[in-house]
Amino acid sequence: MTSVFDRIPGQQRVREILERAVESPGDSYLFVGPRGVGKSEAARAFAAAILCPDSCGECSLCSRTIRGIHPDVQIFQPEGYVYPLELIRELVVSARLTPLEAEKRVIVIEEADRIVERSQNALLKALEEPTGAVTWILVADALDPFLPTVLSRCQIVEFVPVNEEAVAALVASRFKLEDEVSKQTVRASRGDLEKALALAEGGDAARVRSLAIDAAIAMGEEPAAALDFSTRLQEVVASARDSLADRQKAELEQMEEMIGSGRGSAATKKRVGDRHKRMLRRTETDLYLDFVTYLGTALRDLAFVSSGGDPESVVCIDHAQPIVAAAMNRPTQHWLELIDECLACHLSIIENANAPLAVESVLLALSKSPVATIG
Amino acid sequence: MKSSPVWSTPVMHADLDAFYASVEVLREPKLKGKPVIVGGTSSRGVVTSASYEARKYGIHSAMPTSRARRLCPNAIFIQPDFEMYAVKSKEVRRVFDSFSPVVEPLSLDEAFLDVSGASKMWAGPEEMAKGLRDDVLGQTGLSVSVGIAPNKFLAKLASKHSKPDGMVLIHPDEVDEFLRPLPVEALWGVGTETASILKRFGLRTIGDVVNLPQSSLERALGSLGGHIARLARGIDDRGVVADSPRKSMGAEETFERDLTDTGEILRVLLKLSDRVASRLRARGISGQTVTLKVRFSNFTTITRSVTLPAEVDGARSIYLVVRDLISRVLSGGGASGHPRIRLLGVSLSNLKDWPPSEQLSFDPAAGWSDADRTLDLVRRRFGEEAIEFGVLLESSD
Amino acid sequence: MHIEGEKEALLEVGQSVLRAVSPRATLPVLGGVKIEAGRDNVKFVATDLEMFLTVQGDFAVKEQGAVVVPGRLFGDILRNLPSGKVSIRGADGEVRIEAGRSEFAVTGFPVADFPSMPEVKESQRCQIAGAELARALRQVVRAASPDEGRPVLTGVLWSVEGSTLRLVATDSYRLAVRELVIKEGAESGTAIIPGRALAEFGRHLAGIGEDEVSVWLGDSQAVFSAGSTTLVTRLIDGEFPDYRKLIPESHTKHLKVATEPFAQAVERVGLVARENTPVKIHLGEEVQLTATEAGVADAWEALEEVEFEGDPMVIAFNPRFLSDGLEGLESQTAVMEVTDPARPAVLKGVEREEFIYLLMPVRLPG
Repeated sequence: MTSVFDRIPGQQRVREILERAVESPGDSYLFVGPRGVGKSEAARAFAAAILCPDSCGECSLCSRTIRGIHPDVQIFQPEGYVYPLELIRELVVSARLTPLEAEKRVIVIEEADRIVERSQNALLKALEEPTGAVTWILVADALDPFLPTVLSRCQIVEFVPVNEEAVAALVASRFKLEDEVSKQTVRASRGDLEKALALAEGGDAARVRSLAIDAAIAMGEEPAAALDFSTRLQEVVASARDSLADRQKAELEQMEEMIGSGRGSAATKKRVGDRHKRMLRRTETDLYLDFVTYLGTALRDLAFVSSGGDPESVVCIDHAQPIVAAAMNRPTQHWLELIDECLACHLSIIENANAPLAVESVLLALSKSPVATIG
Repeated sequence: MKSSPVWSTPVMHADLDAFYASVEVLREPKLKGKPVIVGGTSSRGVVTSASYEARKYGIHSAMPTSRARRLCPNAIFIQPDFEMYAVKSKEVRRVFDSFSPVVEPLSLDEAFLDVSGASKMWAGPEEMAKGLRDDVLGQTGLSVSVGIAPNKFLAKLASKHSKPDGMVLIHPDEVDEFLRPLPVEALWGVGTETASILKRFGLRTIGDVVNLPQSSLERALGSLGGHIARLARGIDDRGVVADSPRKSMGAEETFERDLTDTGEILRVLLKLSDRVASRLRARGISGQTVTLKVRFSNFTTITRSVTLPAEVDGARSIYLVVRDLISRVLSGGGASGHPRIRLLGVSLSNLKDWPPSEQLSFDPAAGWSDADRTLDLVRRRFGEEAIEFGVLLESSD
Repeated sequence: MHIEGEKEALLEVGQSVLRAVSPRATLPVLGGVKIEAGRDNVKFVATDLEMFLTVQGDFAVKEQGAVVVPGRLFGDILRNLPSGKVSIRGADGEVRIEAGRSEFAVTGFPVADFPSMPEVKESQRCQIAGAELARALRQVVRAASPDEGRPVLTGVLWSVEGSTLRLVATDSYRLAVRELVIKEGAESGTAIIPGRALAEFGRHLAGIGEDEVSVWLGDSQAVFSAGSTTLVTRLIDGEFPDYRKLIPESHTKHLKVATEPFAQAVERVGLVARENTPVKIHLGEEVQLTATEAGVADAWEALEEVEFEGDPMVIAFNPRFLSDGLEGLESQTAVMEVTDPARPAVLKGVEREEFIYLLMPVRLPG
């Protein structure tokens, strides 16, 4: 018999916890863990399991829950940069309503770490007075943005990076890849399912990665050329942005056809438009962040090899040869310093620095550091 | 040209004669010279205005229409048309404005004018009053009665005695002579209740009041006694206040160190809201539009306003609005990240001359205005810094 | 699925069911209308995620089955079709609407994606006279809070005790309580029903003039059915405030006044007052209504056909709240009982106890 929990790959412990909880679910959960490890998917699966008597994952109820169109499972995403306070207030009120179709209700708040402190206080009202008929699932990357009062109301379910076998299985279920390519993809994703799938698909994600690795290798050869990579990266990001914008335009057109131009439709269109803008910005930032991450990973490989590590164990396994060649051009200490630059850049982008500028300046810093031949 | 002397009678009260009825006569000239009554024409209506022809029959404002009909069966009864009266009132106001920069309207049909500056243009107050009455008649077709006196209280009394279609000037030397014979009810602030107390003391006329020492009056009537004693001697310090002297009332604060912490920002906004609210209450006024001003560390300044369904004067009502405004400002930040704030300001505009009335609730927790009023009392006794609103509010939320 | 019917009849059913569709549905399928053709009837279903509204229509069924069409588009098409016979047929994917020489092909939603109506299990059923329920809803629902501050106050308390049904709503400024007699099938129980759903049902009820209403109260949903219309709504989970202790046990002042003239006087005097300016009632030998809009206008009006017992007093109300209460009274003569300008006034019909309306005054400045 199938189980809706089959949709949570590689989170054995999480799966066990949720399977046990289905019989009498708690009032509120907080799913926390790094990005791309299947938290949202797990939230939908858990919601379906709570509503469906068989937790089958196949019936109309499960299918509608997973796609977010069941009236008793509401899935929220931030509008704009954070959740507006009004939305949280509406949510708290609507939480007092009984189910319409099923016996229970589930409210999923994705990216719940984007609920600012004031709004968390508003949300607390609902968490503190559970009705028993509603289960809340907050989904977040980290715990520190939450008030202790919110944390104390939630059962915290921790997600871990997905192990290589599970990632490989997921990739294999969606793409037909050669063994070697699959292995490289799985290793490069470092337990992030979304990233694994994006890399397996090829396209922009894969291009950003090979740019980053090439840039790192160039550090061991002719650092001055590294700056060119910034321009090439910006081109890739622009093309990714354009293709997303095209898809969004098509979605909006389809939606306009559906909802017409009657009362309230303008507000709906604005909501969707806001979501689209946010996704565009987010996609761009994510690609820059990915670039810096891959750059760091490749530098780590270079440092690892230069300090005598086994070339077979490098993360950028598909670039092992040039990495081994370039690694010896700098002392290990030098490579480690470059990694520090990357980390600082990563942090500044997360803190909302201008991403293209931050990446360009890290490449500039890297290219200025001369190659000091050993010996 | 010799410089003109400063007038000793700087206040004018102008009052349109039988305003609503006169407007109706203007609209329908056939009615001229006939008893015209404006009021509710249904069986339960009352008279709101009566022409002088109708008043001869003993008809006056607030009398049930049915009674007026019995007194004067031939009268012409007309439903009030307030929009029309407002339009006409504006025309009259334009004439007033040409005579004085400081006009304080009391209602659609009467206003105070500060005419102290008119001495440069007119030979004397009588000449100016004639000029104003001629202009009002010429430009609007309405007759206006005018009182001129050293202060507001006396000017209003004077115009009352000038009616209809006349002018009375009370010179400072004539004040005592003018006031003494009048009944105590003529004193501003003396209603039937106070009048009956005064009469119990044997005080029927203003002259009787003047003869009594002020201290006895204060014993009998408290602070009102002092007020009455001063008025009875023709003393009234209230100035003529132009109707929109102030468009807004606000409070703002610039920080030595930029603010970034949301909690701190909210605390400052609460303090500012409280400061504005207590200023409004101290003047007995209220405002309907709340504006938040934010200046960031890069000196860009933004303002966000909300116009409420009703006027407010309470710290909590204002704070709740600015709190929502700031949360929108902060959440809309996007790429700018954590904003650094250099200045915050809260102001109220769309000001009203009256305090808000308050819809009471079954729910005792909603009774916030009580907290505001208690606060005012404490501050009056112990000073401005005696109590902070913040603690009170935050714990309630 | 294939049905046929006259344009006007289809439009009427389509429009009444479309009223339930939320304009805010961001998920297209939830803004759809499901057309279900059974053996001998056709059901139109729409939902706003708070309630389902089903209207049955008498149309010819050529082929049984179901489709889900985009609601707004469907409404627009129906409105613009020429009069005469309309045919609607299709399946998941494509739906064709034809009338005369017009033909539309609409992309439908998968029927399986449309929410399904719950079976209301273990429910209590009762029957109520339609016209009386429609009146009761008009009297009570308007006192429910439109504001989302306190969730339970946006609902109407539906409370059955023996053969008495009591409807209660309050927005914390006023309280309306109405009692009705249940015709059949009475068991005790209570539920808080969203005011919006009841208002919607009330409108339908007034429109169809059906005199037999069946109501089922379940644990999570309530079902209201009258003639061809069925409404299924979520309930509000929570504790309704104890309204009984709000109703004063005694009073010191008693006003008896002809309802209609009183209501009209409030309207008239209220005209001068803007929304937030109260209307004052001067109680005494003569009873007067006044409103003052400083600097703009004054209005006053003496009430006739009044009897007042008690000491003189001035009490002020929001004119809209007062009008709402007076409009609900079904008696020729209204009774207003008050004690204090800061305590609730009770409005009811003379010698009538089935409807009472409690109203908090407005505190005047100063």
